[in-house]
Amino acid sequence: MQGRLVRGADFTLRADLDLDIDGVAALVGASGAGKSTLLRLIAGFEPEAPMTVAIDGERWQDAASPAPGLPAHRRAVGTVFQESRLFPHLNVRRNLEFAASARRPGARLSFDEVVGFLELAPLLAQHPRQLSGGQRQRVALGRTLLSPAKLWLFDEPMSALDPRSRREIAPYLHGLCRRHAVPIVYVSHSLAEVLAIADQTLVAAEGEVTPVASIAEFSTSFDNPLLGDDAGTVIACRFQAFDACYRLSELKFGTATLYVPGDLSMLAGVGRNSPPILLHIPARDVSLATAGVDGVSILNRVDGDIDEIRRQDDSVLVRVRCRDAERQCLLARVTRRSVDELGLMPGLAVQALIKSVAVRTSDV
Amino acid sequence: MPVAVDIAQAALVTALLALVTTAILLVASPPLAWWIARTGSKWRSPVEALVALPLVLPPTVIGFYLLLLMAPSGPLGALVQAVAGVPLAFTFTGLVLGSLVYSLPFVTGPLASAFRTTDAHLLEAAASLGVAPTACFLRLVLPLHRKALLAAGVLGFAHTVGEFGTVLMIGGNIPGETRVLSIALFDRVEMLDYGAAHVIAALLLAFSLAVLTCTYRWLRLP
Repeated sequence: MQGRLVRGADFTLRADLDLDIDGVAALVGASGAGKSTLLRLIAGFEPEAPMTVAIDGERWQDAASPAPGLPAHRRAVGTVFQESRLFPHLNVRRNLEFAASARRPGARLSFDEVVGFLELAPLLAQHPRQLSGGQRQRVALGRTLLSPAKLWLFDEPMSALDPRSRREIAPYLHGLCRRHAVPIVYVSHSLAEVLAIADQTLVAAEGEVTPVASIAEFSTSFDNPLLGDDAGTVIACRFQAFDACYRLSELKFGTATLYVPGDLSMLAGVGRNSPPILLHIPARDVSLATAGVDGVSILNRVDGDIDEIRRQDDSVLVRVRCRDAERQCLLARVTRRSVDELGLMPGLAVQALIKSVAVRTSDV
Repeated sequence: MPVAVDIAQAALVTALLALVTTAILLVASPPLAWWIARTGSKWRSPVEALVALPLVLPPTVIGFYLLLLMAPSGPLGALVQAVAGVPLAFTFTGLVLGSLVYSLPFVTGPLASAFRTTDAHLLEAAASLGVAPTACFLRLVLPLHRKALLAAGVLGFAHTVGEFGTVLMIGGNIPGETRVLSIALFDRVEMLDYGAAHVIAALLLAFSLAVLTCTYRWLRLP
């Protein structure tokens, strides 16, 4: 994807992206940074825009050509919008069948599979106006799954929902992201959500979209535009062993070890290229010690050096570079008083005490 | 000819004419109205004006030009005579052609207005599902605007029933073929047969009132 789009005086979108999306790419950035526009360009809703869009070597839109790009219905891309956009004159079954009737290349799930996965059976005879916001969005999701696509675009599918509907639909959305039937670009404003589902991230800022390699790198970057109370670290680990006596799994990243409750051997994968297990460690559950500590119940302790310190409102985020794992960092949230009393500063050797660590919800 | 038979015959011709005209317009108008509602073409305004002409022109002007067109020596009349071997002017077929022209704005106009209100979000959603524009029009746009379609059809039908000037010019008032109710009424008044005139006038009035009332009521249903 390549090009420069100017809209009026204060909106420019530059993109020069060569993406290899496997799984879920979270697209994050402040409002007005061009996230939705980027999705609209890929989906084909801006076929006249001077932007080159190519997927799998197939050129859908060419900035150099005056001819409009391939129309949206012929692009093998499915979009889930913020609002459900269900067809009001059709009941749920008909809405789903409407999508299933489309002809275009790409993978598609079967009707029964989608209805089963999203638990839509009780809703099939109902009309959109009879459904709650969360149910409507579930149907919209199902509709998109039924239409053949090589790429799915999720444009903040939960942002228009109340917290209750969000909790209701999140497991389905996240479950879907985990199944990876089709690569997904997922626009989100929620760091918790991104940390839970994304495999890689795209950051839109000041009219430019740039890819960040991995979710692990994104989670500990201070340039992360979503950085806030939910800050935390995602670490890619390999399963090592399961201690049946204490019911603890031993996981490794680099040569460092983490213990996670429960038997994770089923996530171990086979062979060297099997996907890693992604662990999520909230920054608020990480404490720092400048001297070795004994007599503490915390099992997970990681040695490292302070890389960077960022004050955030009343607390401080400290990024620790792990000594036993190249390139892996950890975020710890401490108080300003601790920073002063311990003399925390970049370069200082510390031990990170990790109070809780969980396999990312979407991987369970 | 007994008065009752004359009126019944005229009513039959009128109903048939209005039905055929409305049926054709309900097929031809939606695509035209959709184009008018959606296009950014420079031809949009001239086409809109052409469609709307019967709203402002005296019906006799349209009738006059249609007559010239459909006369045996006119371009269309000669063509139909050569191809099908039948005349166009003063025939039921000619009357249908004329009705299509003067009732077109009554069907296309309301439809175009309704189509303009189509939620673009739904069209995007359909496109994002891979539904082609034609299928989208047939399966999404038309059902969404079914009330406007009905209203446009009723308006076209009622207006065809009520048209007088154009029909007078191109129809020729042939009983059982081109004599419609509005012309039969005119005839009766000319003959000072006010009794029959009352029957026809009341018939047309009651019909129009009933149809419009039903339509408005139906449009207001959820």
